[in-house]
Amino acid sequence: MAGLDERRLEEIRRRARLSWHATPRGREITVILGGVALATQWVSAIVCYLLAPSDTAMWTTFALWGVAVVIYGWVYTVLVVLSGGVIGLREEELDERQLAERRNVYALSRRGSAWMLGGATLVVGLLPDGGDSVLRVPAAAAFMFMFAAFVTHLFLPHLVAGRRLRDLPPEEDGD
Amino acid sequence: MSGEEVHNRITMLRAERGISRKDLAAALGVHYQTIGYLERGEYSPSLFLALRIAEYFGVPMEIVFSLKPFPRLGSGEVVS
Repeated sequence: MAGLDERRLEEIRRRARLSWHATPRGREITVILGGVALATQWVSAIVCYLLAPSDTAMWTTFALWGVAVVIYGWVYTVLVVLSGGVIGLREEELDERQLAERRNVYALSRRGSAWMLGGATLVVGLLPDGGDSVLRVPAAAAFMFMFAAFVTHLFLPHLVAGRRLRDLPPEEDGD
Repeated sequence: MSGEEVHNRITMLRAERGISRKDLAAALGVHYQTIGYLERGEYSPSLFLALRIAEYFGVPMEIVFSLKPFPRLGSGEVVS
């Protein structure tokens, strides 16, 4: 992500054929798929909580990681191109509108992250402790729980940016 | 800030001078989508960018930007 600059963005834009994704429906589906990719990590945390340590938990986690990486790789490419770099580019490469948009996106995402952390805290507080006030959780579940929270916090701004995208100005002759 | 609309004549000035969005964007150092958003009234520029746009076209700022909608050409209204 850090290595993306305007030249690379232009290259990605040329390679990607994103006419369908630029429509409101296309953007909506892209954002939903991004949400699904993040949700898989929460599912993985639940699977680990219920089944770890076991082969089922391990292979489910790896499979969901793979699915999430493939889906999110595609979603990220689409959103970087459609947003014109609002997500992806370094701040110094953005103009004033893009910078303002990125700051709005991060402010909105921070609210989302706060709610997610509040919810996660509540879930941990409500987990059954077996009556001895000691919470026994498989290490894999604890890791996946923190990992899911981390990637959600990290990638939520991309999805918020995707939700806020508007139709691009039509291309002109000579543009 | 919502509801504070700034009208502009960038599209007209650009068309009149045969300048593409990308050329104008390159001259101003902004993304071409930003020019599109400005023209559609979906983004109000900073004072700095507004002054640079006026300077680029070589006209006073009030020729390019206004808080009131610009009269249509031929409507008979006096253009300031």
